[in-house]
Amino acid sequence: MAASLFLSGCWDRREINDVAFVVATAIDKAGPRYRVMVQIPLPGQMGTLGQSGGGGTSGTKTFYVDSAVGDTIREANSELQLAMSRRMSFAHMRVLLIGEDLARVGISPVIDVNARIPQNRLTAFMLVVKGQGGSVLNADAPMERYPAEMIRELAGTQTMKNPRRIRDVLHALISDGLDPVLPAISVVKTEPEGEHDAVSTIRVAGYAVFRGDRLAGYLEGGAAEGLLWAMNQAKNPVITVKPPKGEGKITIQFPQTDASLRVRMRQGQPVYSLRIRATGAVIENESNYDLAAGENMEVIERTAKRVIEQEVYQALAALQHRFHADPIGYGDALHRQQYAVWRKLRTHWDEVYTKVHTVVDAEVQVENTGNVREPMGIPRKELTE
Amino acid sequence: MNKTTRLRPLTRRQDPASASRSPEDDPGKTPQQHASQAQAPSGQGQEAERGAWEERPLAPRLSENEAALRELFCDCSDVVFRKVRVPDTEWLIVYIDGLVKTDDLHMHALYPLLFEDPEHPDVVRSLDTVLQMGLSVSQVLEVHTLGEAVERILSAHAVLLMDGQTKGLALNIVNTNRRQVAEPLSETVIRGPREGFTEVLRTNTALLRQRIRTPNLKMVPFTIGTQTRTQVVLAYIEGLADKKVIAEVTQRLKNIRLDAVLESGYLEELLRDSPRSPFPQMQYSERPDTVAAQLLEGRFAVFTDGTPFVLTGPITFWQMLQSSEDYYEQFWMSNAIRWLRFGFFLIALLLPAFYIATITYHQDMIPTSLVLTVAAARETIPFPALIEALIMEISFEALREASIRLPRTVGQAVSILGALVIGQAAVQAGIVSAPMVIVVALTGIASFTIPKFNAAITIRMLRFPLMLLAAVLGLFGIVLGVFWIAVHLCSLRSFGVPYLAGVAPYRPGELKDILVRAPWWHMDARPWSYAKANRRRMPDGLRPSPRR
Repeated sequence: MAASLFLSGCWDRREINDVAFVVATAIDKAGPRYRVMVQIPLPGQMGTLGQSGGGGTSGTKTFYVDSAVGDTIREANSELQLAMSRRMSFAHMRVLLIGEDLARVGISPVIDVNARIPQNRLTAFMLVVKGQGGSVLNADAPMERYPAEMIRELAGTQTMKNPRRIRDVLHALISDGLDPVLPAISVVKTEPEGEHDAVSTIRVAGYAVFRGDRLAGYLEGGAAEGLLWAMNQAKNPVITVKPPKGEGKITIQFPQTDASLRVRMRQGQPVYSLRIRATGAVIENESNYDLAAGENMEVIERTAKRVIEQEVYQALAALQHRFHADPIGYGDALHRQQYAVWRKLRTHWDEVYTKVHTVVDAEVQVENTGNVREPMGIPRKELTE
Repeated sequence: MNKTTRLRPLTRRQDPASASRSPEDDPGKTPQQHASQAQAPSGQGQEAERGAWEERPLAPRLSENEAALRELFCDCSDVVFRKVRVPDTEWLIVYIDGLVKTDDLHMHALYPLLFEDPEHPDVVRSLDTVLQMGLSVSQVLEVHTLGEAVERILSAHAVLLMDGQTKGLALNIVNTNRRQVAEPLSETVIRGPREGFTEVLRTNTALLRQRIRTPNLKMVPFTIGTQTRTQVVLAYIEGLADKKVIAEVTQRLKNIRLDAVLESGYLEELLRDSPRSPFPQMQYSERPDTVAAQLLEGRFAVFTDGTPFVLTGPITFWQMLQSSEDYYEQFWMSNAIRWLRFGFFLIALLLPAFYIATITYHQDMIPTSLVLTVAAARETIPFPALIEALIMEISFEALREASIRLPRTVGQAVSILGALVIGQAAVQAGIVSAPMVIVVALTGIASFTIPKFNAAITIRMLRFPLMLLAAVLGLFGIVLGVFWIAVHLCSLRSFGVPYLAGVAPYRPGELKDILVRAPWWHMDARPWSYAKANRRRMPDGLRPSPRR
């Protein structure tokens, strides 16, 4: 046992103050090489102790951003290290950002380094940045202590039920009949009253759809919502419907959603049926439509059902015809459910995919109208039945 | 009225096994029992020195005896010789001032001797008649040799010698004016008896006897210490305690040849199975209820005169994390508190080591925001984590030690200095980081949650090697250290009982008083590890329910 003390291999004692914790890496294309930008919070500037009032000295940022170019990501990191007095540690890297240009030429090469070294966590969130990947790392993002934290929180709370992590991308890349999809973010200016008060911040701007490992395009708005519905990744989706009678609109939120994809064979062709179940609540009714009256709730549910189905069809159209990408896993579903057919179709699946038909059936249930049933603030006699 | 115990002549030389008896023999015991429980001979050197006069029988002439005693007790200003002259004969009373209750001596010995009863004028003329009719003292022993007489005198008897007689009487008129039975200071409880042991052996055994009223509660006397002649009593319950264990502890007690026993700790170190282990192998307690409970589980207790701390054994590791109150409070609460102790036991042992290991090796394991907070706090600290931890831990230990030793009034000042200087100023000056202060404080509190002080000290000590291992090898070092401790614990025995009994070796039945504290109606069996003779505590089916 005494011997085992000395046989333990490398001695890697490092004081916490000799470590630079990389919290985000952004990788961009720089000609044929890579530009790697890292974000490192500066603990000394974060004002936790002894400094009254907290929040670092005004004018100094609480984080540090630097970038370097290299043939590989590791090489770029080594370049970066030459300008850092503290050893970079990637164990706390929570977000991996891919610049748009790099995404278009393929993300497979950059994933390797994240899977190869155990220090790197495959649970880090992966996002595509519209424009230069590094741009978001220099945003003000005053809501969190450093932009990487903001991106992490955005990815975790504002995107999908299961936010995309590096391992999900790996899974999609390796699987037959499944393409990756990643949330896209971009830097925007806030819109406070005065122009000069505006700061830059980061927002989720749709979803980057990949075909293989290459960026095929972005889905935004209703189509993006439709994609999430179809992937069963919609997180607290909100839809706004126009009631059949009266004026104004009603907004419904669906905390419980579920989607299942079945594939059946009809006349030798796979036909998909996508069943969506959603249970939600009316969160705003600015119309004069009386939800309490008669069958009106059922009417609204049917309207919502159509809206959801519409969004999904919109997404499917884009995916099948514009991007030729399969983030929902149509191929994967066929593979699992109709293996014999899949074996026949797999060689020319890409062509088949663009032609398959999908029947979307949403089952909407609105259980709750909040604290009130009739629209508030509208006299009863003005309500439409 | 008067009860007498006839002592047989001392036969120390011929038969060491039946040498001198403790003066406080239970009157009800048979001579056979005395013979079997007698005490071992003392060190040979002292033996030769004392032997010359010890064996000498009392001379028929009082003056001869008096001269011998005066010579032995020369320059002993506290020994009182009182000669009483009555018609036809002379009496000599020898006792040690302060040890004997003089009021009682006057009333019950001197008075009857000096003022003869007109109805029985001859009473005082013979030792036997005095013994039978003249003395109103309940416990009187006969002494036959000089050695016996001296031993009685030294153990707070008044010895009565009569001219013309080759025996004397030892009157048990012990001055009981000592510290009163008070609340035990080292083991306080919220619910439970408030009585604690005192320094007087007889008071202590009486406190125990009050709780266990069965003739099966045996109290075997020993005299240990060639100089101090300290009275020691081995108590156990016949029929519950393992006979082999009792034989073993009797043998070990007989083998002790210390010259002095001033506290039960002297005995503890000589009774242990593994003398070098840092872990306590006997438990001590100031609480009669705790000792009673231990005896009822088949353990034994060793009372030592002059200390309120009674040793019990055999013990297991789990006892270190149990308090007597566990058994008095309702079981849900006891369980919660027991688990709290388990948790804080681990904290007390491992937290500083774990902190050092994670912040110097395994920063990956800490959540990002926490690692940044810790890094921020450590930004200005000039020392590596280990040095910082050692500074804080050692100052904490010093602080604790200082506050124990100092008089209570000064103790306040220490805590103020400690809290202010070490706690606050050191952090503000940037010499130690706030997280480290939190770790040390938490560790300190955790070690105080261990109910047994000796176990807490062990844990506190073991934490330092673990910290060093953590600083050198990280988590790997902690694992090594814990592994070593675990191996050591598994190999420990307390009077033949495995230290981790119940868990290793695994005995599912005992877990209900280790991992949890089962309700009393469920604890129908005694722990198998010690109470081998009689496992059942009570019949089944005692759980209260509306209808049976």
